[in-house]
Amino acid sequence: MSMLTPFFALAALAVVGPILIHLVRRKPKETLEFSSLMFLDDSPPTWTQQSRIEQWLLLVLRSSVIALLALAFTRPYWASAAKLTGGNDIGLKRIVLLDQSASMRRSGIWDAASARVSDVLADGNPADVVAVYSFDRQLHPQLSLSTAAETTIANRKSAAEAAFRKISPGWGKGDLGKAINECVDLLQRERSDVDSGTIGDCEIVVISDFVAGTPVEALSETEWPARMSLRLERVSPTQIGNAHFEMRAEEESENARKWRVRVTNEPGSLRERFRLTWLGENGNRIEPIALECTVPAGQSMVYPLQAPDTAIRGMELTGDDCVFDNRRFAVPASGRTLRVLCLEESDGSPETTLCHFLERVPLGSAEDTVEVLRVKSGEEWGMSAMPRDTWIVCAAAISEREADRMHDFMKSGGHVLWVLDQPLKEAVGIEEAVGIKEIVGIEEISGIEEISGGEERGLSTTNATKPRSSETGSSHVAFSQDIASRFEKLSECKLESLKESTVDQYSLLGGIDFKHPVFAPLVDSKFNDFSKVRYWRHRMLKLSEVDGWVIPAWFDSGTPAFLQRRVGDGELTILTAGWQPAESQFALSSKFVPIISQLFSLATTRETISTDWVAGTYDLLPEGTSVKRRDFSGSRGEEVERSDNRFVNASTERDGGDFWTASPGVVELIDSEGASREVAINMASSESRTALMDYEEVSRYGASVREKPKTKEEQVHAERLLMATELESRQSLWWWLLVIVVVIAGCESLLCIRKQGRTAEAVTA
Amino acid sequence: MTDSRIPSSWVDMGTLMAIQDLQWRAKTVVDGLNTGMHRSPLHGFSVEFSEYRPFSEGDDPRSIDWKLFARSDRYYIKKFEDETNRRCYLVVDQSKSMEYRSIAYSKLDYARTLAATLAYHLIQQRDAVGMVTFDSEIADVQTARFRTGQLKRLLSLLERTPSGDRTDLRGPLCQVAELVRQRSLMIVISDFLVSTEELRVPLGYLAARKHEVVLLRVLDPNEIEFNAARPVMIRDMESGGEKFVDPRSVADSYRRKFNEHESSLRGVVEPLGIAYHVMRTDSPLDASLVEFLGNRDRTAAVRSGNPSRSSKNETNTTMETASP
Repeated sequence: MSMLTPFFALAALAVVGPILIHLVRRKPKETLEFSSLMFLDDSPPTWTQQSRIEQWLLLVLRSSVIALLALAFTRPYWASAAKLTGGNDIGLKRIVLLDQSASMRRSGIWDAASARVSDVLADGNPADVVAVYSFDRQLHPQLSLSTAAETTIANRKSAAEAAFRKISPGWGKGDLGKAINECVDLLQRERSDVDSGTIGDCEIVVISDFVAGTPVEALSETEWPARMSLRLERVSPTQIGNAHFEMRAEEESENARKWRVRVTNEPGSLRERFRLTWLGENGNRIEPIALECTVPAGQSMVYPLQAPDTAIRGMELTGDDCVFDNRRFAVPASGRTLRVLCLEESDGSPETTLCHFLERVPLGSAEDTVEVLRVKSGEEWGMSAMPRDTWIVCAAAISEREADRMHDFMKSGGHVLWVLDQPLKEAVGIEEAVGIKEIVGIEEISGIEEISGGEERGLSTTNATKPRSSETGSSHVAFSQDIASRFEKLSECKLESLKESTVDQYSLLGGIDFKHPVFAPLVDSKFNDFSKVRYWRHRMLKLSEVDGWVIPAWFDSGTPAFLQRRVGDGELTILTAGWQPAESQFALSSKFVPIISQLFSLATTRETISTDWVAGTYDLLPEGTSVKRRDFSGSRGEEVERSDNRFVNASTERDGGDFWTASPGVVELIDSEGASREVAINMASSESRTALMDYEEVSRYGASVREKPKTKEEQVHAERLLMATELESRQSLWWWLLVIVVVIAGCESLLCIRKQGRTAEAVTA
Repeated sequence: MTDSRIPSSWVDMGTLMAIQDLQWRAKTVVDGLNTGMHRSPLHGFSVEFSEYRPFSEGDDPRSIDWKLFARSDRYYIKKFEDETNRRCYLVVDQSKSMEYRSIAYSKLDYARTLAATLAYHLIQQRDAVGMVTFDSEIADVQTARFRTGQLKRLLSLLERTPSGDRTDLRGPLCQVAELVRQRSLMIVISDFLVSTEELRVPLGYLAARKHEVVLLRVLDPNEIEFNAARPVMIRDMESGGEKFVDPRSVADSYRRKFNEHESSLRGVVEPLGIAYHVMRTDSPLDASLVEFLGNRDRTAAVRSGNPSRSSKNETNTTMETASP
């Protein structure tokens, strides 16, 4: 018989307890009166002699209960049935995960990493399946698990070494947590593909410098699986200290620009004096030195600087140990002015208009200025000169002519948000309408001219002609036929029916597709509660065909609340209820700003290009834009990467619109119309934080961290242990032992009761 | 405690203790003593004429010898030896420790019987007998007198229920020494389970007042031998204190200490000329009495230099010895 947890056998020593209890003379219960205690010594309970143990049967029963309990806790099993393998046949799945983020560029660190990779490959069992992956912001397979598994055992090590030789440190930001998560997923997937009877343990070996800037928070998304260990192998550079800086334009004056520079000296750095020099247009240093500063280790200092008269493209820091992050690039900001055209009636109180709320949404950014233009219906708003970076938001009541213009705008790539913010009313017949016109004595009535083919806008009516809502008393009423015809004009789609909702109190959004880009930012459980957004009324719209439509949100009645459709190169978005308080609580809710901002950014994204990119990421470029890299090195001592249009295509790994910002520097973007602009690409500043990360941070998220590799003996032992566990769980001898313990304990109790009964009888007698 | 000199008992102690009436019990013992001897131990003890003296004011007119008045027309008082000298005080310990028993009757039963027997016997001899009972302090005092009903009074004192949370011999004996100014025979009946040092002073007082003191130590056989079958919690009958006692480990120590105490007690009484005798409750009362009287007689003969005197009249001699 073998034991899974033999240490518990020590508990059998507790048998001494009952023996001692049997040996010790208990304090008698009976009391004898005596004339005087003056000749009596106090004699505490003493051990009796062995021959005086009176209750042998009880002692045996009690001792056996303890011994069997201890035996049960040792988890015994019959080992004869076990067929243990030597362990050589089952290798573990190991992923060597190599950090290729920018911080790995520090001097000596890559050599250390390659030496460590060799050690890791040499340590393992030849039967191990070793895959090689590298990571910065993303995981890059160099030798995938499936490929490694297909390789013969003899070639596995050489294949892994070859895969490692292909890797070189990049400029990207490392995301350790995400990379480990993906590796865990890969191993899990591999496990589920393979028969679980023969699969061994899994191990992820991370070779990295583990700097403080490496994020590991993503590990919280994964529950660490059993039998998977994480080994962290830290590689250190030859020099530890590092200083880095960030620069930001403060304000622009006529001749020079004012900048603010934050210089940070990492903890443990031995140097404290640094110099900052401006970089000229071609990457050359501009004398004299811009700043000479002293920053103690572990501290940051902010300095205001004035740029020289000549054109600058960045700054260089000298005086620290690590040069990989000593250059940062900056280009003069080219601020754009984006426009939001709000087309609606503006009479009545401001709170009843869409624009009133739209103007209060902070749509601008550091690079872009956003201007909200309020255009009354019927006013001329320069449609022909409308630039494509304009977003049109219009109320329900639009004229046919405006609908035509907006349709053309969308055809050319513009985005339009059409808000059906007025209650509908079934239109009367033409004759009836004419009759009404005669009766009320007005010339224009909404809808009548459209129906009769009038060219001018018909919805611009006076207050006297507006049917009033019984609820609000101030809303316009749109005729459903008008809306239907505008709908068809704008969306190039037929409408089956359109009518006003019949809501007793309010309706809510019954469903939201949080995968849709508009709602995606609100997917977190902290933000996805829309139950506070109540709609007092809305329009019930039924499409004749749903092809081409995207409906990311709908009311609890099932009718769409939010519709989108591509029209030409542009996009039409329709809200079937307004956001004014008369219509709903949408504008007053916390969801309004993020949703409108998201709609706006989606509408203008194709043109939004930051002037400051982070190296090692994909940035979306407008179609037709070509990229030209400036002719100077990204970092001192690096190869100059010549840039031309081919560079873009060659580096593109995904869509044609993505640009791989491989290394820091300044690139020139030339759009299809020939206009050029410059963009600075810098390394993520987190990579410069080279203070060491504590391993605890990784293990805190539940990862099973090991610091030393498993030896062959350990692997064999682990396999044996696994087998033993399996055998023990199948045999479950402990359960039978517990049953026996219960039986013996019962017998002991019965015996005790019987003896007590006898004693009582004897006393009575 | 068995001794070949101890006469065989005339009375079964179990039967004797079964007699409820203390006087009857005493009478049984004394009668037994009388029956078993060729000569009564009380015989020859008579009222002997001592002298005449003229009547003076304040004398009891009952003691006037009227016959002599008839003859001489003068008032004379007739004085006898016994009236002037014979006094006996029975000092009986009635503390709770005396209630201990390991046989059918307790030490107190035994002590009562002993005191009653002595009182009966002495009154039969026309001695003035008094009694002092005590526990932690003096409970009752009956002055020594020879008159009708004295025995009943004495016996009634013996019926008292024992009390007191300790035995204090020093206080009561000192008080007795102060109370009894005339020379008397002091028979102290107790278990003397107190520190011997406590006894030294009061016994010294008594001896200094020329009393003849006799200590009769009544002990239960288990108090002497201390036999217990198994470990037991022992509670002091007086103080209520408890001790866990394993007889296997403490019996020897108990006996040693008891013997030391016994020797120490003898060491206290012998220099003072005080008679001391241990009376086991399991030995017959009459036999113990005879043995004690025999010892006393031998001791007195040695003192007086006439050993042959003891063989003539043991008890009488003893009691005479008791007279100063």
